[in-house]
Parts: sequence; structure tokens; C-alpha cells
Amino acid sequence: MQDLEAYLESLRPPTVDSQWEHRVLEQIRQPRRPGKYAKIVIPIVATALASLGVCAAFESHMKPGSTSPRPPVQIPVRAPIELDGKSKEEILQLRRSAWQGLPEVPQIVSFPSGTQDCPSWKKIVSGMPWIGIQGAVYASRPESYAQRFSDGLFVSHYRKGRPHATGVLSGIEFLCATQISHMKLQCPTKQLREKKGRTVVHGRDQLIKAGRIETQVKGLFFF
Amino acid sequence: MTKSEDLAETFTRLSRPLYRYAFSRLGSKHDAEEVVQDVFLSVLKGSPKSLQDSYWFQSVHNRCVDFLRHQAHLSRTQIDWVTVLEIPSSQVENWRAIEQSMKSLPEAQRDVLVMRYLCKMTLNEISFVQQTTVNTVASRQRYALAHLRNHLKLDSPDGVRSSCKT
Repeated sequence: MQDLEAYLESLRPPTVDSQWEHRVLEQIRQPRRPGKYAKIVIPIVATALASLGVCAAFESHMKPGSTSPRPPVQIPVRAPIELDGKSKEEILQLRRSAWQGLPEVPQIVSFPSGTQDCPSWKKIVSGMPWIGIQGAVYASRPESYAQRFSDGLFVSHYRKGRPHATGVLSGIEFLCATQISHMKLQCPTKQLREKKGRTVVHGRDQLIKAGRIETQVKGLFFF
Repeated sequence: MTKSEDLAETFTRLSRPLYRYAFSRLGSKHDAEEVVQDVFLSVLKGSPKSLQDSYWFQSVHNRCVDFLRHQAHLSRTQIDWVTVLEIPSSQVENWRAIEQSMKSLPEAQRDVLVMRYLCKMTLNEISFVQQTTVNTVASRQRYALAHLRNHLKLDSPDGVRSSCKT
């Protein structure tokens, strides 16, 4: 070893796999996933539909205290307690029957006008489009909220997420509050949760604790 | 220049020193590739601004530390530099002597030698990783070489060790 530094300089560095470099470069250069655009496209479509007045008729129907030409929609309500012990297939069957029970509700993007004068509900639904009904909520207090919507179906939505999440929400879930005759239903203590299967029953306390719903929600029935 | 093109250019320029550094830390080709790839892809998804070279080295360093922390329950892979550097069999003995001497160096100096001579990183790149100045890195290199010469009983930079000739 004549010269230590020269000897060290003469060592060859670890070889780098050129195929790996090529693969990473491909990944960097490939266009972004289209999923990113969904965040832009959905609000644009929602705005376009709203501006075209597609939802106007529905909104007028939904307006609290409005004299709707149609009779209130009668929903075959399933109590959350009925879910206890049911299999996934049975719950999905209930879901299908719930959909069939709501023929009057257009499955389009809209902003329910019924939220305009209800701070609590407005807080939940403000600025969020809804595209359908996927569940039902049974509210008890304050009564005024229930009465506002007792003339028909109140449709709102709720962002699905972990009840204790702090602002970061995983998606949008939808719910509807139903008629006053169902307000006394209690939330089941058993909480069913199937993240992938989208069958979720949240407890009332969880929702209130999370600050998502200020009203006294007795139960929440997600389909 | 778009972000992805900018990133591709940066990757082309820095992938090799970054990979070599990650390899020297992790001792695994596969893990080193994964760490470097993760750093670039996370930047592709996130930060929109162009980043300085120091960011890349520091990010890879941090990822390596995280990786080793997660793998703490496993025994760390000992790098067989003879194989990695493809040292000829006639020089293996010399290398073993140097490697043994390097173990007696302070960690910072040893890291400088590994990055400088085994990973072929520049002093500037090493300063990014060690978060210090280039002059400090140069000093560490100088002290480390002097220590090795002393340990290997090489009298001068051009000295010859009787028991360890090339």
C-alpha cells in the first residue's frame, strides 16, 4: 500500500442497479393518477347542476314549512336496534328495501334548503353536496328540528369518518332524518362496524363527543 | 420545466450518491433502493417547490434512521465491503487492515471516510448529511487519514508499510 489516500480513491463504489433507476424515473415521469381530478370534477358537476336548476323543485319540496304539493314521503323506517344480530346479507337487504322506499328522492347533487335556518344541521351540511340517501338518523331534541322536517323528508348528509377524528375526514356518508313518530328510538349499544362493507352503526355518545352533531341524536343508521 | 421533469433531473443527478449513502447506512441493496425511491415519490406527491440538494441528503438520512429504528429488533446487517467494492483477492488483506483501523476512529470521522472513499460522495454532499461545513468535513477526513496512517504504521502520506504492501 504505497499511499493510503490513493488506495482508498482507487476503490470502486457500490454499483447502482440501472434498472432500478429506470423504474423510478418512469414512476416520476408518469402522469398523476386520475383520482386527483375527482376532487375538482365533483364540485364542478355539483355547481353546474345547481346552476341549471335541476334541484330547485326538490329544494322547494324540502323547504321547512313549505306547502308541498306532494304528500310526505313515508319511509319504512328500520330501527337501529333491529340491526343487532343480523347478518351482513340481511342488512344489505334492508338497505335495498330502504332505497325502494324512497322513490321520490332524486339521486342528484343538491344542497338541501332545509338547512338554511338550522344552525346545527347547517354546521353539518354546510357546503357539502349530497348525492343520495344511504341511511337514517333518529333525532329527539330539540323538537323544533324535528318539527321543521316533519312535513316531509329531511335529507342531509354526514361525513363519514372516525368519530374521534379531528377534522380529517375519510369520506362522505349520507343520512336522512325522518318523521317525528320515530324520534323515541334508542341507539343500540352494540356498534357494528365493517369498514369495507360500509355497514356502520355509530353510538350517539360518540357523535356528540366528536362534536359532529349538536342535536341529541338517538341513533344513526348508515347503509 | 414541470415538477416531474425537475424531479427526474434531480433523481438522475443525485440517485447514485443517495443510493450509496443509504447503502452504507443500511447495508442492504434492496432497502437502500426503497429508501431513496420513497423519498422521491413522497416529494412527487407533496411539496410543489424545487428543493436544494441538502434536502435530499438529509431526507435520505432521516429515512435511513427511521428505517433502522423500525428494524431495531433485527440484527443490523454487516456490510461485506470486500464483496461490495469488488476488492481483488490480492488486496483483501490490506483492506481488512484498513477496516480494522477504521473501527478505532470516532464515528463522525469514520462516516466521512466511508462516504468519501467507499460511497464516492463529495465533501459538499457529506456536509449535507452531517449538517456541518465543508471545512469541518475536510478536517475530519484529514484527521481520519492521519489516524489510519498512524495505526497502520505508515510514516507519511507516501509511506510504505512493510507488512501490508499492495
